[in-house]
Amino acid sequence: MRGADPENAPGGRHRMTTPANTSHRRAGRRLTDRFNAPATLSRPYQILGACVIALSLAGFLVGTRETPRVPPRETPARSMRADHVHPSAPSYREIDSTGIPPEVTWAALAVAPPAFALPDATTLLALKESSLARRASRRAYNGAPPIVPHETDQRSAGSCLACHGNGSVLGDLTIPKMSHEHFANCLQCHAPAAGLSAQDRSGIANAFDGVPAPIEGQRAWRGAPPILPHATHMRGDCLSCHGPAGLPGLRSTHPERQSCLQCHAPSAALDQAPAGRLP
Amino acid sequence: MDRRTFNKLMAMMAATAVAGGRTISLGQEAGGSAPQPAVLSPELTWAKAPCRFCGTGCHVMVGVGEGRVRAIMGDQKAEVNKGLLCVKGYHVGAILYGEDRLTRPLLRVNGQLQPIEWPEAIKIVADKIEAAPGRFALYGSGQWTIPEGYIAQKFMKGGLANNHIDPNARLCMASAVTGFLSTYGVDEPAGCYDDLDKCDVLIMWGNNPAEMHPVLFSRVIDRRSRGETVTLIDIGTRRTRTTEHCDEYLNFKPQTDLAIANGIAHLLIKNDTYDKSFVETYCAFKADSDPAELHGRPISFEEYKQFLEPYTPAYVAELSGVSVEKLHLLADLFGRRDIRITSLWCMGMNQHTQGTAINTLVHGIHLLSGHFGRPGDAPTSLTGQPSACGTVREVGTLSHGLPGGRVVTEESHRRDAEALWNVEAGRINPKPGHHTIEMWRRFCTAAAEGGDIDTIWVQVTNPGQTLPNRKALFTAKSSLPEKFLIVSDVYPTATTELADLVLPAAMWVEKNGVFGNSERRTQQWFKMVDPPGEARPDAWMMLAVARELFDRGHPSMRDKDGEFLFAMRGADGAVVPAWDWDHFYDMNVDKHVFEEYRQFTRMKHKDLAPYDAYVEARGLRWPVVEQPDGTWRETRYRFAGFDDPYVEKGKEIQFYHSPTHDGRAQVWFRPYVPPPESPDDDYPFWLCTGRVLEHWHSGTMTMRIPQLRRAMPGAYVEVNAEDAARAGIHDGETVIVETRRGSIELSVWIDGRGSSPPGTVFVPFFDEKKPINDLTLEAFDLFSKQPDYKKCAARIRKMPPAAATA
Repeated sequence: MRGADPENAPGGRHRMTTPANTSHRRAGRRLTDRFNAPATLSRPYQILGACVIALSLAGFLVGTRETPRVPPRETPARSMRADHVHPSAPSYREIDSTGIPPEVTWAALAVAPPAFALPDATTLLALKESSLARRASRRAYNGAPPIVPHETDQRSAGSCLACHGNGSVLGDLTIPKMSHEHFANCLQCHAPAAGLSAQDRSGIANAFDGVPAPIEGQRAWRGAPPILPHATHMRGDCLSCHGPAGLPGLRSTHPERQSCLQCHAPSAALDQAPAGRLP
Repeated sequence: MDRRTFNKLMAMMAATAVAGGRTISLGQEAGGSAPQPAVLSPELTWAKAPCRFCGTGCHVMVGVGEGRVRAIMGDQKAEVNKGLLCVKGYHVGAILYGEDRLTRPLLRVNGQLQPIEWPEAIKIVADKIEAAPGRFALYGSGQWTIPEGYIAQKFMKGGLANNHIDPNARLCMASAVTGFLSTYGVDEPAGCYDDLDKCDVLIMWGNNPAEMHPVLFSRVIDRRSRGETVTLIDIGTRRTRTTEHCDEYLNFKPQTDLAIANGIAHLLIKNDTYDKSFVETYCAFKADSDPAELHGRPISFEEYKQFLEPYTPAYVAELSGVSVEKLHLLADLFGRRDIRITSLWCMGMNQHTQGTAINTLVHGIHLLSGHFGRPGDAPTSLTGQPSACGTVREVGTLSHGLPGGRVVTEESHRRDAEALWNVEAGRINPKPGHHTIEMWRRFCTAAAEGGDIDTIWVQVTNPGQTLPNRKALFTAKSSLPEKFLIVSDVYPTATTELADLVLPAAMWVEKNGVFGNSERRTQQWFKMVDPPGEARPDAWMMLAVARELFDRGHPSMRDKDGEFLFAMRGADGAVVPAWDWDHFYDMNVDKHVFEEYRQFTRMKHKDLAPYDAYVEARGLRWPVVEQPDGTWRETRYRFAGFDDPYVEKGKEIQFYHSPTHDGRAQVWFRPYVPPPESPDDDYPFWLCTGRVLEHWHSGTMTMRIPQLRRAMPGAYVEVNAEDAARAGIHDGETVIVETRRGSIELSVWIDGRGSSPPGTVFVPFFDEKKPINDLTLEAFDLFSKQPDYKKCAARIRKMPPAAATA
């Protein structure tokens, strides 16, 4: 008499990704999804096993591609406190110049570093500040869903996904990629601010002073990878802002590295992790 | 990047960090020509609160820095929204900071509002009450916190022995209440939002949750993104954003939802697909009595079948415009035992002159087909205000209600309330007060002509914009100088336009509060920031007025021992003078009031946990029952043996508040009756009003948030493309929309946010500059007294040439 529980139905909960693990799995997700999609589920454990193996293999292969990308340089002079007795750990960025050799297997698999050019630091910081200002103009506070700076289809999300599904850069125009998946009602959170605004007749000012974006995340020491200054919830895809289609100055200086959270620690408090401090 | 560039960048980062106040343990001092350092984000203190807007009851994390709300996050710990919000929720922090916040009490002198001091303002309110306590009314809302509503309730019914207290929720969900009461004998949904995660079919009856309850709608459609299958069916009078996600859209002619519901019941019986064992075990049948009363008269199953006989698919299709095939589709779904069906509704069914009828009919289909009492099988009404359930339905701030789901007309209920309030037996008036429409009609009628309400105190709502037929029920006050309007609010509104005394109120996280959402979830928050200027909480205002009356020796504010009705004692047993603003926060007034109120909640199995249990939780769904280990357990599925602790052991389902006192729910027959006003030659269009995603109710808060206002800056009239072409009206043109009650000018939007079918137009009501309620009808449901904002007859005229060119 009682109906089938949808939780146990084919294609049910096992495919869910939670915000917490989305980022960790990003590199391998496409692969695992492809494995999962046609699953018959008559042999769930076999499929699960296959997924684990595929994920491991993918991770291994991806990892092995993270090989030296810049020619060796002189060992930098690092400033240490006088009483510092231990040699300091090199930063990820400095590893190439430390003289610590890569493992033989890594060296054997060495591939040419991807070509990318960074502007000089002054320009970079200026770019970052102008990008942050532009970003701030489109949100009420750091962390607010950005408003839509163009006309929208009033009723369907399809047109949003056409451009924001993957994101791209066209000259000066950056089209951000969605930083989150499986939300089908885009305009639920993103208010269109163009087109209709010509009719804005009320115009009562609002003194809400939204918290600004920090210029960078906190670092334990100069050169340490910054921790995330924002929550990872709804921001599972780091590359949507920090990838090639992100705003200039916010893009990663090392886009070839794919496991962001390996080096950049999230904030348990902002993520409301079980051990976080938030009430 | 070369080494030098990298070092330079790092140096600049360090300089920025140092300038921002952070210490750097290692590293060279910054030097050179670093650009102006950017300011680092200040440290924010985060705390939870329910969102201030709709009845969904999302929790937000509020980021406070330097004494101001500066950021909002969706609360990932909240089961309701799981970290997601809607565009209003993400911007809720800005509601506090509109530049025209009311910060001082204002008294109208010679037509102008002039600032006065609080003691004078409190004295004026007390004067008005003292002059004629029985001709005073309190008009509140589903945005009152639970403690505020409870204080108002006790002030009026326990103090003044005056039942003229009613909330705006009368305009919002009163028909849902009468629907639940006449079906189950007790108010509020049996199911909860978990049904949305479990249902195979979701039917939305005249409901547009994609805009009105977007977080709940996403909860359903996001299941599809995860690979689950859920069938969505929209039964409506207009295509909306919700329709875009639906598998089926059944467009019906306004009012014929009654016939559709009867048509489904007809087919369930004709096809023999109703759930016989469920009906035999758990159901009884009812029809309207003569004269009509809420609980009607019992009928037999045979009579029920006969009543349904005329509602053949062909007849219903002709009446409603929904095809025979789609009627069969609905009936076939309800006839299946292997799927789970959840129905959702909100204003479409409630703002209906047959609101009680359609509510009971939809409950009836679920009962008849046994789609009840299992996760995913539920008839569930949604509410539009954050505490319509908590403060109005549970605290009973309606003209006939008492706390805990009780009523003034029952002697035992009055006696219990009098005992808990420690007032003498007989203090509470057994006669229900004026419901909303009646209250405002009498206020807008001269005393000599029977207008027996002289003073209304409005709190947390904006009737000047939201009452139907506004000219008759509100604006008419302007020509009655003897009437006195007191308004507590946060911003100037259409209501303060006519106010004689304006009291600046604290809002949301400027005070402590407790709300109750649509799924019986009680939610608590603490004050986080100070209100601006002299704005103060409504709870304090009422305590101050009560104390003023007490100090004047007015007997109403004394209990039977002569003590102040609202005496609150601190830990040391001494009375805390909370009525004195300097001492209001000497104790947690909310906690004190909540603990007193809590005693009422256990009288009808709506048990609430102690205040402290809600401090950590993201709300708990009542009944919340203490476990042997001292913890508090919430109830997701009421009347279901597997979850509800009040169902007798061994029973699968038990309707333990059955109106027939035999554990049975009532399946009602209610006929299709035509609406009080239909389109005709003079007024050929149906006019429907409602909300849009970006704005909440009358826009007092959301129209002051730039991001929301820019997205939806003003009201419009949605016109069907064919109708527009026929009338020679183009998109964006300004036209006159008028009914027999009034007219306004609106710009036309063809196939914009929604699509109205031919012969219908839609206008949102959020825009105070376009008061569509000048046009709406005040006719109301016989049982619930809730008016119908969804249908009346209108016409559209092109602007006269002179005006159009002007």
